[in-house]
Amino acid sequence: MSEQTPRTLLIASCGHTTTTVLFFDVVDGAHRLVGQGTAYSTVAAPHQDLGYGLRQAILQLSEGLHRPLLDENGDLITPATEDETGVDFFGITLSAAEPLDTIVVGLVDEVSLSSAQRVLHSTYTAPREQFSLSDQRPAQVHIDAIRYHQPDLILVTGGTDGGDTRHIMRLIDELSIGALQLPLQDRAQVIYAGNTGLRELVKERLANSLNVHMADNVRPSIDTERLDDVQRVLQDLYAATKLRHAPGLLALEGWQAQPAQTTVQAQALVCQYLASLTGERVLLLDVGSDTVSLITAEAEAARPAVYNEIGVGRGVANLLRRSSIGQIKRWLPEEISDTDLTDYIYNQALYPRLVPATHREVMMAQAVTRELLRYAVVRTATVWQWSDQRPPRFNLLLLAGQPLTRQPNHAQAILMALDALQPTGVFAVAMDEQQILPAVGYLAQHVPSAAVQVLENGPLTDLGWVVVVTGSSDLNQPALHLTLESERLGKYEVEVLWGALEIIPLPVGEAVKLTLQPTRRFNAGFGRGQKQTVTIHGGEVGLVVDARGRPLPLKPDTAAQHLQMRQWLWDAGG
Amino acid sequence: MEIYPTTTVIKAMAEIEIERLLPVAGEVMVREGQDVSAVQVVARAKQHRGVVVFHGSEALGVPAEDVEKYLVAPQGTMVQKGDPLLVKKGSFGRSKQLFAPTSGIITQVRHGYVLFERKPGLTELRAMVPGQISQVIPNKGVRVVTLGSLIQGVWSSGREGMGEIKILVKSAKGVPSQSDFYDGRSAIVVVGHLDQPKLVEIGEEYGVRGFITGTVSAEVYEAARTFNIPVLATDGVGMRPMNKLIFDLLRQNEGQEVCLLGRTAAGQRPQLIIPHLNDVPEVEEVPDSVALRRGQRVRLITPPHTGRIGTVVGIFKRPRATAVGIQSTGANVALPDGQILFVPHENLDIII
Repeated sequence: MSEQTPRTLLIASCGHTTTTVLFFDVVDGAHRLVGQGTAYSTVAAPHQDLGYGLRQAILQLSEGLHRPLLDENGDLITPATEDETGVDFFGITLSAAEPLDTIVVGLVDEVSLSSAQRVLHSTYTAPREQFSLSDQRPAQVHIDAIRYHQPDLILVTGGTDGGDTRHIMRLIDELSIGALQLPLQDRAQVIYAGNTGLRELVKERLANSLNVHMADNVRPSIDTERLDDVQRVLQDLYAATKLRHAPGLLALEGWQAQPAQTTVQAQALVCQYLASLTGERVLLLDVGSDTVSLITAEAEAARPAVYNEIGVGRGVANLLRRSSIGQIKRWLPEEISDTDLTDYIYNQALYPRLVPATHREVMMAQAVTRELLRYAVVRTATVWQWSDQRPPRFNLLLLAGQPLTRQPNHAQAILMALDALQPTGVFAVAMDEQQILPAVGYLAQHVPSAAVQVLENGPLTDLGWVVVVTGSSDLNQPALHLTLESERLGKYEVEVLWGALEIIPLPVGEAVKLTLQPTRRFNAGFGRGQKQTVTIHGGEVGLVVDARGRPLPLKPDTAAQHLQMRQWLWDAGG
Repeated sequence: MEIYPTTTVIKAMAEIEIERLLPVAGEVMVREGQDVSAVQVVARAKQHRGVVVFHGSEALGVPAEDVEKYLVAPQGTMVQKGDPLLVKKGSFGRSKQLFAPTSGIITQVRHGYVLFERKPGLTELRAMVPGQISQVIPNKGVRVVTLGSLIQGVWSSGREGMGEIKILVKSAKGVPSQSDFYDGRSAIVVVGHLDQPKLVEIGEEYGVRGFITGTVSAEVYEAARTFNIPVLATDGVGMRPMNKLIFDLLRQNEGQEVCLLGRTAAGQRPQLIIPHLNDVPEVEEVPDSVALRRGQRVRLITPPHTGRIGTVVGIFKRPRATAVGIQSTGANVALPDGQILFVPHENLDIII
């Protein structure tokens, strides 16, 4: 370990309802996670100070470690002392800062506005309005919308380089008038990422009334998309206007050597790192109280898709506005009236931390989580133009957030993810039960050697592997023949019927040679009827074989649908 | 290690400080230390209602930079709807005349648009509780300190109001009927449950100033924005009664003035304040949060015991499995019927 590398590290992750602190120390020559503390977040009223909940979490950690971390004034002891008090390094990631209220301006829905949506969902934004060429509303409506929403950000895209100028300039003029109605301190920041030839003109028209940031044109030509630069500008703006102003964060400045970072940015970094290790795609699902995130990562880049104002806490009431009670009910295994389900959802919004206490509540909570994820998947499929409303093939699925990690059993978490994603192929599944990914992502930038060492120690819970069989046939026909071979288990064979969901327990960590032989009408990820042998590893759940079909064949008849969901739940361990 | 569940304040007597803030910057009308009544205006502000635009360049068919030349009245002039606004003289004595689409002040000509400012409105902020100004927040508002009963609600429709307390139902689970509203004129009425938005509308027609209810149905929750009078729920959404502690406290105070503060920021709880400025007994301070302790009164906030009040008899600081297999820290709670239940701390609400 180099002399510059801090030994003891404390990384906090502050969400809307929970604050987690993780303590890392050097064990046997490498950094390891050695302690965790959690407390309720206190970003919102009545405290409006994230430091209060953070200190509670640190006190809990301190008690567990038998190591004083805070001084008599409640300040972090840093650097660590020789008598084992305090820490050498502190960092914090946040998803609890307010999102950027945003108005998007562009020309064509399928071109510049589509790129703008991809940019906006890369961090915590709340889109309020969209002005475009196809929008036939008069200027007055746009101007009133600016006054009504008082956006933090106006993202202007539109026009290929050297293309149309008249329409976009008209929208720019409306923006400048709309902005004049607001007091100076309430005026939006503008990111201009449109036709490069208009930059000077846009500056001239807006600079007197608004703060304008220039970024590369998101669509320099109709078939070229450049998102990196505008995403960078957006992230900087979010950090400057929202993240740094999260209630109570400024008071912690003395604790931090490095600035705070968004949770999604930190998670994206880890996903990208994991993808670079294997050269294969990684997908992360994170369900929070007010946010649902999907991150797809490859070695070259990570693409976050963040949906704000929906989640299992305060955001759950918004799900009813964006989806419907019927869409949620399709995931229930028993009859629950619209009234009871709606009451459950609204009470959950009033008490975001509630834990399901009865079987009926577990079923409602799982149905809500499935629908939240399905909503996010379908939206992301539209924004990123995924085919068949499902993500592109991936090799590792990561599950994060208490609605997924805190279930009666792990198989139910996998089942929720499978129902919502409806993926295909063969992939491993791991769970971030300790909420360590944001911390590792943060460390990756500031103490990279520690991040690598922590990841090498396997801080995630391996749940096992999933094989999805696709095709079409009558139910209960043989779809896939499996041969499993390992040192401890020997060799055995399993036949999976079309329509079934099978779980084959495999010891944690056990390397298993798995041969997949689909029958001629079916595909297990390598082509119709194609045989393939892969090496998988056992986990808390084992091997899940999903031969239920894609898209998931949900029964239209309520009684049959309940029976079907009950069967799948039973297959996943009840 | 301490465990901090949610808390609800139900206090017969407490020192209470509330913050009253203008929606936009304005003028504070009172000074620190001044006694105020509940209806007293403590701050006021001009609230701009935005601009109306008129695309002069398009209407006249002239370049944007020329529009100003055709204005009949200079910028800053108040015009009435229909007044001549732009006149472009043509050949042979003909002219193109355009009229003001609305009344307002011509504030600017910008990029070819003529901008009118709508007449600003006046926003007045009342103290809402009788008491003393404890702090003036320049240009924004004040903090008022008072003494009285304090009840935190769970949900409100987002408005505020005041009036005498009138219990409109016989029990904590009572749903009012139309005939009950005769007795609720000019009062803030107390009911057990509100099952339909129509009840709020009928109440308003009868002169009811606001509703305090135990629970509301989902329909009432969803219709909140349409209500002109405040509605505050003490126990959430669903067909359940008002919890006994709150119902009894309201009943004891029937006929007293109550202030219903339902306009809250994110995460803040709506409140009921029943001022008792005379005959003040010992007053306790109200903490923001308290750690879980044996002997505390708690409300259970999930089925199958939602709304029941019990006493903490044991605390589990290490996670244990709940009845459905989810791991959580929590407490054993004794209910009045003798049952003792393990309840995750997330599902407990400490009554303070």
